[in-house]
Amino acid sequence: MAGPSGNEPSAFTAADSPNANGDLADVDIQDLDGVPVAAIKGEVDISNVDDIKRRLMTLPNFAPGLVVDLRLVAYMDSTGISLLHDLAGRLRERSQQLIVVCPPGSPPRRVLELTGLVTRTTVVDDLGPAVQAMRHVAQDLPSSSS
Amino acid sequence: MSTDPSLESRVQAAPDPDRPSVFAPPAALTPSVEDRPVGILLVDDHKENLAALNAVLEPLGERLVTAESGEQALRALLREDIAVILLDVRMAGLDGLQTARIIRARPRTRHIPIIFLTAQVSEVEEIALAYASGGVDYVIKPFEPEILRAKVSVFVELSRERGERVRQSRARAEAEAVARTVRTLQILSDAALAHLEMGGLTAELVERAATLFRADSACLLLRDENAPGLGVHAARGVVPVAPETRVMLGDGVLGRLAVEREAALLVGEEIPPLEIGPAGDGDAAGEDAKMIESVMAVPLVASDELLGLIVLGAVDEDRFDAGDLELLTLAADRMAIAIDHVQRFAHGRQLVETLQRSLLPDRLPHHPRLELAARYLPSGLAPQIGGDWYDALELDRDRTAVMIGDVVGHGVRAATTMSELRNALRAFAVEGHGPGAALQQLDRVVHATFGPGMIATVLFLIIDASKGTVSISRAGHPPPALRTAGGEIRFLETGGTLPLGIDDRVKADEAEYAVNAGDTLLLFTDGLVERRRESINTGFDRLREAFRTAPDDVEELCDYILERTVTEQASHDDIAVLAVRVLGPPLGALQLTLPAKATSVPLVRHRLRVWLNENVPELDAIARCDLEVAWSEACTNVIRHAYGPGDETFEVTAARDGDAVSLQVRDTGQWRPPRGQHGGRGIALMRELCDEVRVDRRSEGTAVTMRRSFGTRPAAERAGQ
Repeated sequence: MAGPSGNEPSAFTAADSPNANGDLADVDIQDLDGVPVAAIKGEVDISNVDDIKRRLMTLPNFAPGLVVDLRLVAYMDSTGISLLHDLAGRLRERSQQLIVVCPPGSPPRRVLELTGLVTRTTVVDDLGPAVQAMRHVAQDLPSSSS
Repeated sequence: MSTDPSLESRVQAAPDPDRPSVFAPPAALTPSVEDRPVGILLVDDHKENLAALNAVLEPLGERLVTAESGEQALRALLREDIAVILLDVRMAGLDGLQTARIIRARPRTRHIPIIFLTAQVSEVEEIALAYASGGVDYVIKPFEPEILRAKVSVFVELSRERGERVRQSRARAEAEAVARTVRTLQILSDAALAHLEMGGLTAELVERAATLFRADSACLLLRDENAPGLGVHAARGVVPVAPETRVMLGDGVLGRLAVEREAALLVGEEIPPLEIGPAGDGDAAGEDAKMIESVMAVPLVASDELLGLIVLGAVDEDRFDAGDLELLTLAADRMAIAIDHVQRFAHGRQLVETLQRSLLPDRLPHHPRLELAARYLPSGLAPQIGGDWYDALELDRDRTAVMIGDVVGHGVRAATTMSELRNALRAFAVEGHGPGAALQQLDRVVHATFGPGMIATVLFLIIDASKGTVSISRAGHPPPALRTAGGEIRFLETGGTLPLGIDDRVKADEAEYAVNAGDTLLLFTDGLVERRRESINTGFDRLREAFRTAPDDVEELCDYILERTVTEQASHDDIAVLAVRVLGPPLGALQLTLPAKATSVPLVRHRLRVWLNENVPELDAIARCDLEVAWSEACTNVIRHAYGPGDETFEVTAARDGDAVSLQVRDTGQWRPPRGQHGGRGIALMRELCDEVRVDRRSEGTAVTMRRSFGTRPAAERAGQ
């Protein structure tokens, strides 16, 4: 449908996509001193949120919880909020904890604040304190095996 | 002598100062038959022409009566004895030929010869054909004074001869008495017609009654709601009546007359000095202080209820006789009806205005590409309220219907008729009829429902914001004015047909015009351009000038135009105006159509990012992120809720509008109720991120419009740059 002022039609190509390989975001899961840290890099929206969720749900059963690192997230909307909300719920059922790393002033932090998730989930500014806090949780767990 | 300017403007007395006024009672009119001037009625809607005719015919020494329209002429003929009529052919309203036809149809005026005044030779044949019988002549303008005078004097002589025969019978005297009564009542009824507010009416009645009965003093006493007895509402005359004078019902002579509803002629000692005349204070003590020696007092009764008293006084004992009292008694009935009417009307007017306002839309539709505003001003005069209306409704996402109309007639009936027309037209518009077809349907409704005599004008527009067109049809209504973005004004005059209620076989016309972003349409009713005693072109010129300089904002524009076109004196009709400004996606807008799939969301966001960089470079990082989120949320909602799993598309638009960005996401789906907890989160977030979020959900789809302004300086300061 042509616009009234003759704007360009809607032909999209791969060049419109932010990543050359077509992936909007990468998820990198590492173990830092027995604490699983999932670093998301890129953008989170409806198109990739299910993939990201699947990756995050691969957490080993014996871990004290999960640190989700959003420091390299350039974009996140309410689909990402739903993801974090669901994830926190799942972990809570299994007495595991979620800690979100998100620096103040960053785009995902604004969405966390506007939706109120920041008050319902542990959100810390940087990765170091997050890992330390999680190790603290791990020491309190009786079945901990490090 | 009449001192009432409104009487003098209608009827000019003969130049001879010794000759009695035309309103003097016939008793004073007893010169010999030869000397008695005959009436010549001059009818022309141009004052200059009347003045010229006056000058030419004055030497004949006859009684010249002037009228500025066919209607006025017909009224003058009711009151006046006319020997010959000079009638302009071309007149606004009732023209000369129509007027003549009516004169000829009335037995009383059938015999009066008519001289047509015409500026065109071509009309002569028409006149000749229409009046093949005698008694008719014509004069072509510019006329030769001598010839005109000669023609008129021939008819005057004929009339005088005939008049002499008539006058020899006694019947004539009776006829005159009747004529005087009729004339007196007519004059007092005229006062009632001209005044719709109590103060003006009572002053006028007292003035006219005093003149008609040659009274030296006159006063009108009425019942008040807040005080006992009767109080003075209007008074005039050589002997002042103290404004605080009160007549207690049943007390004294006047109080007793009021209670018994009896008219009386009081002379000398019978007159209670404190009740009419100097109230015993020092003012009346002077050398030439006059005393009232005779009084006529008549109660005013309407609908079997006592309203008050009219009291006329004279300094001579024998000024009034039984005939005068009888006539005043008849006149008092008319006065009472007029007063009653006005008292009721004060209440009725409020009722009609409330009704009218309740029938007008309290909210105009909100279309992202149109700005609408409207005003309704009730008439300053009570019975004129009631016929004007306007309406607007969104037909679908692109098309908005706008209507304005005027029902001829006033009061509750006109207001309710207008409501019926409005509802019928709404229905036709919603059914999908174009303006022409809708008005034609409406005309059928008018003919079928109201029958003959119900006349209404309507202007109907459909504005298609996405095509940039307006289609117009108007039934006898003034054309809308268009102001282009460049400031040019024109009246869109095609697409016009007869008013509704005239001829339902006439096919309504329709015209289409282009409208562009920045254009403003102005719809109005004739009260905005019509003023008494002024050419309609002057009204249109005044409107054109006001529109040209009016501000862009439609609300301000309506006020501005009313301020500059409506005056207290001019607001004899009610007025409705409606302004529509066409907004457009400004240059450089982004518009995309995409498949309703999740993968479209990052693509749309990416395009927005690029577009914001190019078109709104000054936007800060937070606002940029906010817009990206808001826009993605709206798209996500469409993908989640609008469609089933098919190959559907949706449309997004981003536009810059001054220091604001507006985003729109439109689908053509039927929304399911949101599923799961996520449902409300997106829209809540959009509302956090934008200054304004509007969701228009309709059967043909949903449009979400968001707007975020990024200017930090106040709007007024920005506008000044």
